[in-house]
Amino acid sequence: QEESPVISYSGKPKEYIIAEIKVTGDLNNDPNILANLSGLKVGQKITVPGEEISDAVKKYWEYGLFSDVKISAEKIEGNKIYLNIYLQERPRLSEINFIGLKKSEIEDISSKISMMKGTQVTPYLVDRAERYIKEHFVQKGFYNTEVTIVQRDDPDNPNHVFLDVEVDKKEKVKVRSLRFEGNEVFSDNKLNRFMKKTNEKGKLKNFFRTKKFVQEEYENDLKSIIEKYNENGYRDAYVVYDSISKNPDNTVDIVIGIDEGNKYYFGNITWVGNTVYPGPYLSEKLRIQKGDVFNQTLLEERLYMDDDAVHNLYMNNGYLFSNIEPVDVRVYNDTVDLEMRVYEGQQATIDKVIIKGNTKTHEHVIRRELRTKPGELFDKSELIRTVRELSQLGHFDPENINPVPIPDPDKGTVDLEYNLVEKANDQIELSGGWGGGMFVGSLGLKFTNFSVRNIFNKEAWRPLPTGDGQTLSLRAQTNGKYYQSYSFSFVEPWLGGKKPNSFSVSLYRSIQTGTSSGYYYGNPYSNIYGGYGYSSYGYPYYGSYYSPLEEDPDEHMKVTGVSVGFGKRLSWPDDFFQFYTQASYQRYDLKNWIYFLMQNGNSNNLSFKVMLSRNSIDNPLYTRTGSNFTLGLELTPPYSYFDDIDYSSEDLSDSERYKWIEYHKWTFKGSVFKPLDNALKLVLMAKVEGGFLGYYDENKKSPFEKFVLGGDGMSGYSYYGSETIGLRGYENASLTPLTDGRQDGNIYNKLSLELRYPLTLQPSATVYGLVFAEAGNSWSEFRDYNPFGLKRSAGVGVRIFLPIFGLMGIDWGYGFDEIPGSPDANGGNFHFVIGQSF
Amino acid sequence: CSEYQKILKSTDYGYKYEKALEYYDQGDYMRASTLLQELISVFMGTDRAEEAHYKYAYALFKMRDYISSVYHFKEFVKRYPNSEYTEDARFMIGVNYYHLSPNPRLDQTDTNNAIEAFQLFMNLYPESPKVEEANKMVEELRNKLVYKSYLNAKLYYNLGTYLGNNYQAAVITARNSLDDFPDTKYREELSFLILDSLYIQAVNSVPEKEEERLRRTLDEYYAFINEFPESSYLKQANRIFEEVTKLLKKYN
Repeated sequence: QEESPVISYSGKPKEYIIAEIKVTGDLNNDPNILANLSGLKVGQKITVPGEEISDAVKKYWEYGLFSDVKISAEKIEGNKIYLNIYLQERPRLSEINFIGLKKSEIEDISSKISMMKGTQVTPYLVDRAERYIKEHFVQKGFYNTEVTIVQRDDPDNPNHVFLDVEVDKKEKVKVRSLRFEGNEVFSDNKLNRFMKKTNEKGKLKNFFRTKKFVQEEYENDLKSIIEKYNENGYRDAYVVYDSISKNPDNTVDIVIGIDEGNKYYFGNITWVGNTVYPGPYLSEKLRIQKGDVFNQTLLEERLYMDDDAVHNLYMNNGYLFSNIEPVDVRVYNDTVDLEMRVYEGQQATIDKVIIKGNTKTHEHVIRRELRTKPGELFDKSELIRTVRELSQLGHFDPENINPVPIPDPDKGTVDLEYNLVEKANDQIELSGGWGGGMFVGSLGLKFTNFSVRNIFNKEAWRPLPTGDGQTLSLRAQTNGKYYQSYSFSFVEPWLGGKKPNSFSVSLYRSIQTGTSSGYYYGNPYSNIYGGYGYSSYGYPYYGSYYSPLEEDPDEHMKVTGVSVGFGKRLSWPDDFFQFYTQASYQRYDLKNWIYFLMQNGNSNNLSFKVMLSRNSIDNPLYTRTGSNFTLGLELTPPYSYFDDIDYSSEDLSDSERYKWIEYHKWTFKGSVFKPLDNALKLVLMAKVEGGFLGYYDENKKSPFEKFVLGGDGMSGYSYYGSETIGLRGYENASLTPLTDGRQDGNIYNKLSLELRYPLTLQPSATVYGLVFAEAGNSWSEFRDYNPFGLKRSAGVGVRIFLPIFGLMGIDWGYGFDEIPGSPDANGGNFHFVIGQSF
Repeated sequence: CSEYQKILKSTDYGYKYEKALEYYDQGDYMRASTLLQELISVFMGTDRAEEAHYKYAYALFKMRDYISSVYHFKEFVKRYPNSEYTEDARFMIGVNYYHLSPNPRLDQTDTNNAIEAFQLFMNLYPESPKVEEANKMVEELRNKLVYKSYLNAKLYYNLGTYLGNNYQAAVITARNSLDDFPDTKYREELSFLILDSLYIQAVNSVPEKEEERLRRTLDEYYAFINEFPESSYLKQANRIFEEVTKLLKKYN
């Protein structure tokens, strides 16, 4: 037996050439193949000691096939080295036996851990199996599940093993009694309240709370008790002892002993190391006074966590490397003096802004929204605002927008890397609704990240050209018999790519034929407001406006229209202002249509609209602060001034009179939001709105575009010809004045007050309740207009926002004032609300 | 029950492998890959594992499943660093990433991966006949990055004063682009963009910083005409020069 050569690890590594590789050990496989796995070759030059050997060992381990790996030099002759690789292969699995489980449970688990016969049994796989099984039962409420896995040799097959998996689910354990000792400051009840997941069973106060005993949760609950003490100045409080005694009936009795210690107060707070901001200024921002109850949590919040935390003064001004550390410098009696040790560091300037993860959305669509720009000082608040705005774009998963600052302290710069995850936000709407005894179906497609430039690029169709943040929507609705509507719209939010000037085009056609009995209510509804973010897209049909009767081919209304709009964000008077202008053309084709001033023939409407709005609300879902104002003017050319037609003549047919309709229409809406409590939850909304439809020639008043007031203000149909305004507490359209039996609302105004309170504000669902009082009315003649002659109502309601379905809600309103001519229109009324409206 | 179904169910791995290679040679990569996928784990540690794995990764590539293919070529290279196929596998890692690399307006992680893979390939096998092809692809991939960084500078320049001063961002982004890609074909455009951005900032400057900014613009102008004496932007550059000298007079 030759002695193996000794490798010195202290001397200089030497170079050798591999002369031979031998594989030894318990082998199931061809030694040559196993030798190849090392990555080493005969003839290869290696250094000993050196990387090559350790890499080879590492490689073997990575395969997971071996439980032992050794590489040694058998002999060394000159510069030739003879290697011996010793391998111990891992055992393979013969069978898994489950002990203590039902058949169905075994099936569930086997598929989850996916260990097949013949696979190599590695410690990792065994660990993973144990973890999976535990998780599986914890999810089912067996918090105390114990799993033991025993590996046993298979006597019939060499190098094969059995795995015995023993699972003890344990019963669900409940808390029988919970007692506290040593507490004076807080009552037992209060302490119990601090414990979130550990509660006594059999008590009414715990009806909705979990009574299960879970060790992990219990320990967290102990921590939260101490936290509560700390928050109230008891910074020495601790749990002296706690005993958990088990009872035979699977319950536990818990006794917790607490030493509360003394109550402490903040003493003097001094600042050191600060050169940018003076100490008194920082103290003022800290908003903690000498004599306040000592509260570590509050201190941390005021230093780091809050929006206006002290540290953010630095973080919003480039001091990315800054740091504030509060140190207790003196504790005397019940007072703690603090020294705030400030490290300011240097200001960091943003160098590169990198965007990653955009596999669909083009980079410029994202970059133009970023408020953190190269060359500017690092600013945490801008970073946070950017994240919020990126999530509002809708193209990315809001939970996964992850900006990472990559600082380079040598250069004094920081690169910002925005990591994004694309989210599918195209919507397909296929909905049907039952109303008035018939079915209305709609099919809608909405692509919110369309790319027109790639429309002729064949490779971009996967399945549609995407990435430029444009919106394309197509929608068709029908009830199969007498109502059909088609619409198409396209919006480019950044026309030209230099400024956020939106450009939109829409086309629509709706065909409605009469029924032999007509409508429930006098007028179908419309929602042609703008086309600038107020699309009625995505709301399923509801309600019952139509009677279920057969169509009548002698009556119809066909509307075809096209509009082109242009919107611009203004920077003056401030950057919340927007300007929107739109040109639209509509063609009406009526036959015996009794609901408008005009009943037969064709009518054309060419109108121009300008709208100035200012929107400064903080959050579109649950608005707390800010306001929203819109002022709009829509007008047609004054044909009657220059077309030399005598409109006072009685002989003029409707077709001649209304060939080109003319009007000017003024609208105003304004709402203000104000939080009433400190927690910013209870919010008051006040809203005022009004509209006026005027004419140029008394004998050529517009038959369309009138206001229809009352009810929920919504329509399931895409309908054209008039504008619907809601007023809760009254039946739909009931507050509209009639002229010759036709709705003729030319002026309206409306005031509302709403008090809102949120029930939940989770990203997955926003729910709030509201109470409202409102008043409004509409008139047909200006001389009748009486701003105080309003119909009043009040009521309550609830709104639910779910990301998939949008906003939904129901209100109950009570109308106080009787409507002349329709005695049932006021009183209690339910209203459904679908979709956001301004 | 077709022949393929029989092969799938068979436990004769040698036969299965034979058939898999047959499908592979016929170009039926779907079937070949399904069979090979199973065989890789069965053959693990045997002499057939190597070829099976290589063919599997190739079949995935042929099926345009580049994400899986690149994974398996990488695995292959890790497991069999001395295989006769390793050289080609390293090349194929680059080719797969090349196919994964999207248009320049999207995330370029895969473009960078491809360039890295090809560079490693060319360092390891400088004599390979595929070096030329690799070089060509690297060139194409780099052009994407060049174009992307040009677009970024251009975007800030175009945004102008939207949400604050974007010209400063344009200058920094353009300079970074020139530093990262000194041979960029947009060199002249980026240089002029820097000059113009500096100029716009200087003439809109607050009085305290005006002089310094004007002088910086002037320096940039000299550097620009020095590098591009025949530039197509010469007329605009000269106008900037005249304007800046005029404004600088009051400081002399």
